[in-house]
Order: sequence, then structure tokens, then C-alpha cells
Amino acid sequence: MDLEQVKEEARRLPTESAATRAGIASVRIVFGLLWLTQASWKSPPDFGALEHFTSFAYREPVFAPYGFIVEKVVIPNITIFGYLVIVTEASLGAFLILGLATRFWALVGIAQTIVITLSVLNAPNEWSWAYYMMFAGHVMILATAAGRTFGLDGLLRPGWLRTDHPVTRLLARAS
Amino acid sequence: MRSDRRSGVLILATIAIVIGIAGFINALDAPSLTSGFKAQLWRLVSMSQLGALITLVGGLLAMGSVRTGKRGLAATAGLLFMAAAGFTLVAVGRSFNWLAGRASTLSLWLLLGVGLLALVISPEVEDADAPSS
Repeated sequence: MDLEQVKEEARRLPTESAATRAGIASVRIVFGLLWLTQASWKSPPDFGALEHFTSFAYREPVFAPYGFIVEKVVIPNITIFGYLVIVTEASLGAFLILGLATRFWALVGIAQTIVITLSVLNAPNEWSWAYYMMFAGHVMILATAAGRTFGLDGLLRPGWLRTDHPVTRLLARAS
Repeated sequence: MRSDRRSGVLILATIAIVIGIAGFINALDAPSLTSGFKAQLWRLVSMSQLGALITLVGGLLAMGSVRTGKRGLAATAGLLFMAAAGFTLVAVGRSFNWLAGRASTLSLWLLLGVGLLALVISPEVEDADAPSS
């Protein structure tokens, strides 16, 4: 083996090993369970607990313009935004556990993590690294297209790739 | 239905049957078929006996699809779970929440519904290769 081959072998990701694939899938499923469980305490019609935590965006601001939007737009319309949070987080749980359209839902998870981080990072007794890890976890799910290992993306993608239909093309890109 | 898709339906059917049975047992102390109860099942989801029965019936339909190879049964189960998820979205936090689900239960039913429907509806490689006439 010459030097270039050694370098290439040293950098090669072990994506075909069963342990690596199981590891990638387990991270995806754990993050799905995280969203599924965290959806449970968002309770309509008043969304009291959600309003309490969201209001830290302007009571203990991380980014003042975001806090302003939360105070003037989100909190007065907490019912609408509450349902939006329920739908988003319940869907994140379902789709990440299934491994369906995983790269799209990883992007949604990153966006939702940023929103949560901007709301509660400076709240009392928060462990900031939890939010940094959530962000990193979703980036890993996105980067590895984690639904292709032990997920529906891996099972259904061959059919999507060989069918010329806008929906299947979209699913192939989202997976 | 190809064997790998049957395996997918089998996994979802098994999850539904296990959660349906466990959810029903967990809700036995509830005062009625549509009442909620204190503890969440495995700290994940909550459902009434009616919600648990719907989960169990959906799981059995999906299992029937695995045994017979009939996609229609899995599709029916998927639609049943989607209906339960839709109802929960409207009913959560309200007096008519007969399935006693929370947003996490909505997520579970969405998972089962979307998963089964995706397995049934998505084109198989053989479908894609078939002549279009």
C-alpha cells in the first residue's frame, strides 16, 4: 500500500460497518424520541407552560430582536404558535423515528433547536450545553442522511429514485 | 408487497399491538372507556382505553396485511392512525378528548399512520420499471 492509499484508508468513514449504521440509526431514533416526549407538555388551549418558557426570550434575552418579536407577535398569539409547535415537534418525533424524509426533518430540527435556544438559553437553571448538543445531533443526522440506515428512507428510496414524479423526486432529495 | 416492506409493516404492527395492549392495561383504573389516567405509558404517551383499543385494532389490521400480503389492510390501519392523530390534534386539552391523547400520543399515531401509508403507497422498484401503458 503506497502513501496515498494509506492516507485514503486512514480517512475513510466506516459507513458500511453494521456498528456504524446501528449507531447512526440509534442517534436518529433517540432524537425522535426526544421530540416525541417533549411534545407532551405543550397543552392547549392556553399553552401556559409553553408561554412561560417562551417568554424568557424577552425576560432573559439571548438576542434582543428575537425577544422583541416574541413579546410583540408570538406571546399575543400563543395559541396559534402553540399549535404550530405541537405539529412541528410531533412530526419531528414521528419522521425521525421512522427515518422518513430524514434530511428535511433534520433541518426542521435544527431550526426548532435554534428557536428554543434563543428563547431559553439565558433562563435560570438551564444547562446551555443541552441545546448545543441538540444542534450538533441534528447536524449529524443531516450529514449522515440517517434515515438510510434502518429507516424508511433506505427502504423506499430505490423506488423514489426510479420513479419520475415530482413527489418522489422531492422525497429522494429530502431523504 | 416485497419482503422488506412486509418487515417494515411487521415492525410497525408489532409496536402498535404492544402499545395497544400495554396502554389498555395501563388505563384499566380509568373510570370509563374514554377517560384519561394519571401515569403516561413508559413516560412516553397517554391514551384512554378507547385510544388503546384503536391502537390495537390498527396493529392487528397491519399484522393481517403482513400475513395475507393485502396492502389494503395496512392502508386501512394507516388511515385509522391518521384519523386518531387528527382527532387528537383537535381534541387535546379539551373536554371531548375521548382518546385522552397528548401531543406525544399524536406523534405516535402520526408515526404509525405515516409509516404504514408510506410503505403501502410508495412505488416499488418493480413498479417503477414496469411499462407505463
